[in-house]
Amino acid sequence: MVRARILDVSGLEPPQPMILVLELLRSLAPDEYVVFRHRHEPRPLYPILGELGFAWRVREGRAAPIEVVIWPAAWDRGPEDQQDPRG
Amino acid sequence: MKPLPLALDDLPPFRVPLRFFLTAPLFGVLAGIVVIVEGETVFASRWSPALIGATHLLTLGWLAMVMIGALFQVVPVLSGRGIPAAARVAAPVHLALTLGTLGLAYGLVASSPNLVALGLGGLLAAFLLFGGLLAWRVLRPSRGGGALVTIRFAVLALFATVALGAWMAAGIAWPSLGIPYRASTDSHARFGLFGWVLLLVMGVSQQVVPMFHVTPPFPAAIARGCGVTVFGGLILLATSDARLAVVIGASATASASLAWAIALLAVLAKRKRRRTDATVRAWQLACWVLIGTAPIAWQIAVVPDLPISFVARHQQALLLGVLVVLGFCVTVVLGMLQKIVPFLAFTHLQRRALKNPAAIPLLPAMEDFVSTRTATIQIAIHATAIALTIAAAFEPAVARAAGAALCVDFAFCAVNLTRAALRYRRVVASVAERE
Repeated sequence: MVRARILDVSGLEPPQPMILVLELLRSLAPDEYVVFRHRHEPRPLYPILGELGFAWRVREGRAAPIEVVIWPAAWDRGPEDQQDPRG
Repeated sequence: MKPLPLALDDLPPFRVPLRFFLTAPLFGVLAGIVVIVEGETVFASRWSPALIGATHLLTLGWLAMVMIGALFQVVPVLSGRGIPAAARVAAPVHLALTLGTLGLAYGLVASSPNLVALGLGGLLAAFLLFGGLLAWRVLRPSRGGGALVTIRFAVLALFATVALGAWMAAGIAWPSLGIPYRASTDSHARFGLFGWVLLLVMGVSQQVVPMFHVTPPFPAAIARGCGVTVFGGLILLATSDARLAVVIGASATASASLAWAIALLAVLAKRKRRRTDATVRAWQLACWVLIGTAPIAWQIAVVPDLPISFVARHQQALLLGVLVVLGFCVTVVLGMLQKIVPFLAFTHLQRRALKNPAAIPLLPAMEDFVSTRTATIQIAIHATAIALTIAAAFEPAVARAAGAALCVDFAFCAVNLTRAALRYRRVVASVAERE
């Protein structure tokens, strides 16, 4: 079972979104992943995610225009393919 | 239209824009010194050598200097690819622009043809090198929306400004050529201020205002229509003296300027966070100045002898120049610097700290580079300098006070930006110690 941590930065000014998501990623438990809600695609984040060992997928969101789902690259499957009571 | 997300990963090293940002306020201080030294004669006429010299210290030394530095940073974001060889060409462009501006401005103030010729050489080198690389990047097809289209018009206006300026400077440097350079003054100033500066500001604001201030995007009609309307109006004004062409050209330029300023104020009013920082205040100040200026610019072009005009004819060009250069252009650039320098300093340090998590506690907040209080004081000083310089356009006895205000305005900026840069260097050194 994996658990989602939701982070909505759609109302925040730069550089707060980047600061908050990096803090959250550092504090992530082994069974947790992040749903990062943003008003546009956070392109500068993607190369950083790769360097930090995370995989990600971008999808359209309901609560914010963009949702980036971020999980440890070591996982066999993405969280959307796993059971998630809150996802 | 949605703004494209900024691609910060393509950013050039911080030193590339920083050298331009740190030099620019020194030219503003020099402009203030020229006004103090020359006093009342500066505002005696639009043709006063000291006024033309001080104006070019601001337009080249402050505006072009910051705008070129910022373009090294913004172009990769807008077009997806950076200015070619940015890290290598920044230093020669900066040197040529610095020496060229000093030569031209001092040559104009001291009426020295040789210095004007020297300045012309430096400026041509700077603009041809940078303008060529910029055109190579932004005039070619690439991703980018209304912002990039508007910036393309700005680049074309830059070439028109530089060509007309070079023509006029050649007329001053080599009088035997008999170039009737004064005839090109209005077109040169229009292409420079309403073309290059206003169009660039229109394009860049579509990108940075929604991003930095969390506002909705600009309405699509404004994002796509204002730039082309302003540029079309400028072309018409530059190429025809026919009454109809003047009326249409001036109306197009003035109405698109008004529409953009009103749209920007409306977009800012809808920002999600109600906090009003110094950059927002600067945008608002610049918009209100533009809203006041556009009708005056229209009236001067279309009905210069309007009997109810509150400004005597010889003061019209002076007032318009002060409003556009100091009230609008300088304000926008000053406001954006208060945001961009701390943001870039923070972003570059954050990238460094990623590779070394032990350095994360060393990172200062954006606020620690230029505090909100300092930036707000900066905009207040600047508003005072604008008011005094407008007063000097009507009453030359106020000139020295206006010059002193300009010196304080730009010296305050120089000190704050230098402190931010020194703080950045100290943190880089501490991060390096932990690597």
